[in-house]
Amino acid sequence: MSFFLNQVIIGIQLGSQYVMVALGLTLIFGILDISHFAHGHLYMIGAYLLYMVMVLGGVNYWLALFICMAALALVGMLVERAVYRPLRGQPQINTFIAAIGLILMLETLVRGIQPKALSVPKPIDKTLSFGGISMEVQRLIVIIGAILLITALQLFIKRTRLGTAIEAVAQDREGASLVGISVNRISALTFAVATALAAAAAVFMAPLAFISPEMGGVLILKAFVIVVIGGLGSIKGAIAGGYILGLLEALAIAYVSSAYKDVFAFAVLIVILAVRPTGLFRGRD
Amino acid sequence: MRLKTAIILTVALTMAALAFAGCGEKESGKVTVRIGLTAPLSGIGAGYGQDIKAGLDMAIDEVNTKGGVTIGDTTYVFELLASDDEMVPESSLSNAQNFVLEKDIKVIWDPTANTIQSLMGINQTAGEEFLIMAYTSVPLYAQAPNKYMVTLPPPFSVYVKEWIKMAMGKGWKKMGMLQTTGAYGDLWGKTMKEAWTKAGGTVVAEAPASYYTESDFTPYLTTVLAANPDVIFCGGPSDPTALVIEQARSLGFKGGFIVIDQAKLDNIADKTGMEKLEGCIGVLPVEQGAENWPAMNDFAKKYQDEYGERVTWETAICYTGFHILVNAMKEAGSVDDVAAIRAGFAKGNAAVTSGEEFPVAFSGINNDTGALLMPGTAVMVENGKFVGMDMIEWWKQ
Amino acid sequence: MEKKAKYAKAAALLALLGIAAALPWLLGKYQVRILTLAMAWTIATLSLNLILGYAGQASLAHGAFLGIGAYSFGIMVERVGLNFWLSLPLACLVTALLGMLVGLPSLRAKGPYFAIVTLCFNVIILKVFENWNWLSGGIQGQVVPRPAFLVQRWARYYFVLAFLVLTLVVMRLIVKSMLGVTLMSIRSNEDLAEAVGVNSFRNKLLAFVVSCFTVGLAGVLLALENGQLDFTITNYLYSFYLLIYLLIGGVATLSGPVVGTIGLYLLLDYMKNIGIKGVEEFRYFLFGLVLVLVIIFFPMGIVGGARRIWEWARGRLRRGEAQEVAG
Repeated sequence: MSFFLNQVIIGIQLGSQYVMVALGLTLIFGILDISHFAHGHLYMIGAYLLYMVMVLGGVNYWLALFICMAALALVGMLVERAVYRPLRGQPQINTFIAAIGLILMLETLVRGIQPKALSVPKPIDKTLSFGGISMEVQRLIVIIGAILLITALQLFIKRTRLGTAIEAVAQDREGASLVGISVNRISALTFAVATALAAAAAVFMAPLAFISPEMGGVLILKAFVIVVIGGLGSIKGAIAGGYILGLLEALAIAYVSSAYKDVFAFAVLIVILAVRPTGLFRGRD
Repeated sequence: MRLKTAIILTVALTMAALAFAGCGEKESGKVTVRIGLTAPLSGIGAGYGQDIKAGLDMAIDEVNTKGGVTIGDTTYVFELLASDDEMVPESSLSNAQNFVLEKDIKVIWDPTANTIQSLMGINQTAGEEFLIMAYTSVPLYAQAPNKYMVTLPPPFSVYVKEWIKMAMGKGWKKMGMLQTTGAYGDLWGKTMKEAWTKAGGTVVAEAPASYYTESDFTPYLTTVLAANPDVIFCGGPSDPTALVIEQARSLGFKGGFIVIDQAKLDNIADKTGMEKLEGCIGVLPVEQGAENWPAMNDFAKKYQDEYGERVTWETAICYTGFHILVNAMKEAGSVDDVAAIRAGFAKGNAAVTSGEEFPVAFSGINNDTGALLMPGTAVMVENGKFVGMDMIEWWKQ
Repeated sequence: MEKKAKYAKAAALLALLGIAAALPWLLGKYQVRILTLAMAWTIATLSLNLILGYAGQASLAHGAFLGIGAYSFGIMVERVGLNFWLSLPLACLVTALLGMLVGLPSLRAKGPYFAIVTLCFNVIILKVFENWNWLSGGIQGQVVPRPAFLVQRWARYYFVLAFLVLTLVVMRLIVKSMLGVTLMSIRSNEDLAEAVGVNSFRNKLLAFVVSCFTVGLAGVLLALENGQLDFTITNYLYSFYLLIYLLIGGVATLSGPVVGTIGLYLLLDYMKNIGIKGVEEFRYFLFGLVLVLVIIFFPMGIVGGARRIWEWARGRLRRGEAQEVAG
């Protein structure tokens, strides 16, 4: 039983990371109709930035969190401005190609500068044990941090004027521009928020894992699966989908097959889409 | 008009680049021999490939600064052409084709088990022969049925018996398996599982993980630890292996580890500290080898000075291997007759090196299989120290 | 005037074919090999062009189908011991059949949903080939024996060239046929096509199956050239690459895939072997940069861009002539 609970907690922690990345992706998709495939690589850049700020710069972990989020928000805006905005109005597939170009550039650049994997020390290097369950404090930080950020995002979207503008554009772009919302501003803002979220995920996860140029690759595939299952553009769907996938994977490793762990997410997606071609939750067509 | 200028400029620049790329430096009276290397120089295996390259660079540098090698009445200097294959067999095949057909290369180094096969498929083609210097511990290559191939490190089967002896000596019977996935890891897993059960142990859990794409091994470890193993069999590249060990310890695992030869215990210790490695069984860390091979000390120091990090077996073995290759060329009296060079390894102790002169000692070559004879050494961490360092001369077994 | 243009075009194509036929005697062995591979990849890009360019469905599973075609061929020839001429079409058929099985559920999903489903399928196939050693041949991979008449490099070159020409002819026939027109109507507006009585699902499925058959052929030809297969041939990165070749070359044209694939393949190979420090290391950075720039400035790809420039130049020329006459 304690083993099962252990896997469940790990599943939630895995899911937290997925949710933080998938949320940004779904926001961008909902608002801009862009398959922002390079999102996972911006997450990777976030982790490297943490290494630079914290390990090379000697800055405190919590301060580094905010520095990374702010810096990546800027990077996100830059990417939007330089790559995606000139492509607005072009077919989806073209933005997808641009995203692949971006991925190639980011990965090659990081690899060229630092080919070896790096690691970051944990801010609180302790393990908690209770009732047969043992867990590193950092995992709790991931879980709680994700909950805080998700709540903050919800509040931002529901309670602030900018946030409601984002939601308005997500629901009806033309209508929104008719009532005087600047789509350019909203699109820059969305990228800033989404990328900052990815940076937070990277900062939370980095002390648990190690940092490599490839770390964004598999993650983005899974985040896409989540976003599709949840319905493209649906925030609730991304949250639910992320936690479900995390749990599914943790249990699959324990009870099915670890070598094929990565397959489950993709197989589930195929089955779901075969039954419901627009995702589980309300999705945009 | 502007377009025309642009076209002319582009063509001119391309030509200039071509001309620049085409001209090799030629020292007066010396002939340059090119050696090929196809290895992961970028991507997930980059560190490994760069270590191999460093060994070859150092050896070639040394030979060239001494004025080259005189064979017959010609003096030769060497040049290494390194090409990235990202561990993809198709790319290594392309690299090899480029080396052989375009650059007239006769000797190619390949350090990854899964890419060597693609070279074996083409290196015996009449008129396009080349020698494969294979850096791999996969046992089937040490018995390889290829006329023009030499393998450098000892086959990994060498360690299995010794490791099991060490582990069983501790009273460990239950093993959990968490090695890397993929063909190499599978091969290791199968070999280990067979030997372990044959020796009377049981495998209580199996949760192989992809060490190349996974960055958090906790869900795998909790699965393995739920079966209460005495020892965990793990390993892939060093960095993720260090993470596995670290995470296992923080989950409260007190038992031992058996670490496959790809992972380097010294590099792991750098990350985790010796304390967490208590009860860890694996391959002798390279600098500990200096006890038997004094030249290793100087070599390690030289490497540290040049590259700013700890030397690895890959570097030391390839460095020594290159000198063996040069010896074989001398014995063969040729730098381009592949059959003669391959035969040269077995002539006049060409493949024998001593630990006094080189960082790694070789005892010759098995002329039938092309396996160079380097002893393997199994170690265990006890009380914060590496113990049990007996050299295994596996070819005598 | 129209007729003259047609003759000129035919003459140009013949001349191009003549040059292609002469190349093995002008180039070194390595270049012949690279061109052979580039042509095989071109066939793969052409297959994607059918389903993406003409039918408007972005399949990201073509890497998987490429590998499946290659492996089916290798397994049939080497393990089963089937005859070469039997294995070649059979391998393509196996790929097409699997394509049908994948297409049946997935083609109901539209737009990005279809792209993501096919990508997921590709990831699964890659993982299966990576972990199932019996299938992939494990560390030693799958040897692909060549028949005696394909032992020579130039023979393989002509073999692949013949299939490339054949594929181009078939693709042209399809595009000009009723099926081609139907597909394009589905691409521009699926609902409208349905409304006028087109069974869009059946047509899409047909295009997808034909596309899979073709990419299977490309896989077989790649396997023959390399003589050796490993699990990475099913990599989804290849799906991305095909997409890149196609979009940079120019979608929904027949020359676009040829120009894009051969051009980019040679460019990457050139950057890799040029021997200048930095270029090899950062070649994918340059490649990515080129991608982004081309997509932003030439959204219709090289061929689309060239056409635009050509039309612009011709327009100017005509205006010049007109002015002269007026003057």
